[in-house]
Amino acid sequence: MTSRTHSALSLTTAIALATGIAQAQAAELDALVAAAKAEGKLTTIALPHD
Amino acid sequence: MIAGFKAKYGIDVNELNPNAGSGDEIEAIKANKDNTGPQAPDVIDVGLSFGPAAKAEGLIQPYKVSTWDSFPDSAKDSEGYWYGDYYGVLAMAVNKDVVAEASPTNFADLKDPKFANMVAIPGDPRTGNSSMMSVYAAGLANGGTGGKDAATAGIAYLKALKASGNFVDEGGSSQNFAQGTTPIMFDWDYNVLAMRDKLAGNPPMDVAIPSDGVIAGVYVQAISAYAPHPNAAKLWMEYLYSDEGQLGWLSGYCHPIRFNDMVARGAIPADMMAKLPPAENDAKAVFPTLEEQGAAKAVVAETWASEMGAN
Repeated sequence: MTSRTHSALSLTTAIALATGIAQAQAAELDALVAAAKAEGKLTTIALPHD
Repeated sequence: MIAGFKAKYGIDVNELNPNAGSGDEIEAIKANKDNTGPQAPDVIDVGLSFGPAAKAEGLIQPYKVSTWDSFPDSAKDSEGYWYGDYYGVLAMAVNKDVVAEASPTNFADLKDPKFANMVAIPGDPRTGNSSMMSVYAAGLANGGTGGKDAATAGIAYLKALKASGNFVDEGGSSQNFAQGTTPIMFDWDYNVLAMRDKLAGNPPMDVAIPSDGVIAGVYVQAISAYAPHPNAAKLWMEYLYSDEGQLGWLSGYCHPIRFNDMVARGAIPADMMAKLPPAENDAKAVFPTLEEQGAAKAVVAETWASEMGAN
């Protein structure tokens, strides 16, 4: 019983953590998009491909 | 690829010299260290061996995109300075208006006098990765085992081809190919297949993977240490390494670095898979290691000019 409760808790924690990481990543990406748009330009070199 | 990025984020993309070789790209970073204008590249796309060299010279900065963990370890710098984006297999394009008889299909065929003044590599192997790898493949086809040995054998082969009058000093390009200046030329399969699409039968052409020297070349992306737009550069990388970006490479016949991961997840449409060059080439292809490429480059740097009578 104890161990089952424990694993259920671990799973909850793991989901919470994973969700948190995904949210953090999404937030980071949003911040990056905003910063990139503020720069407004990108210079590439030697990209002949479509 | 560029159009997709522009459309998605509304960021202007300034494209410098689409035909620059890897060495030219490195020089462009060096030449623009103090310049934040339109001549300064934010991102580069260079042959594998140029990645560690640029890192050692302090010319690139690290960034790990969110899909980083799905790249094979062998194709990325553990600190995130450079990362493989795609690879191709070296191919031969043959202009059928000029070569009316059976097309050559390997390096040995090219010695035939009927191919006089026809055979070209993309450019100078001292600065260009595809040219360097053409020399390497020629070496493998002529008994070279790899590294220094492959380069030595490759240069000897090309020197003989030049002496016999078959080798053309002019670099192989789409224009030179179509005009007949370089009717038999080497380049990566994705470039040759894209050229075939673009030329659309004018002239008609054959594409072969030289059966006696099958070599694959990995290209890597990196952000300049002096990038005037570092965030746009990072976002560009996120785009390139997203499923969408990886499919963009694939539609241009390049094998993207997350190819296996995407195949495993069923993320590649069947019609795109069907358009790719035959998979048996990939199975046979030799991927020279960084050490082997370094050794081969040293030989080319030392002997290309004297052996080939180049400047």
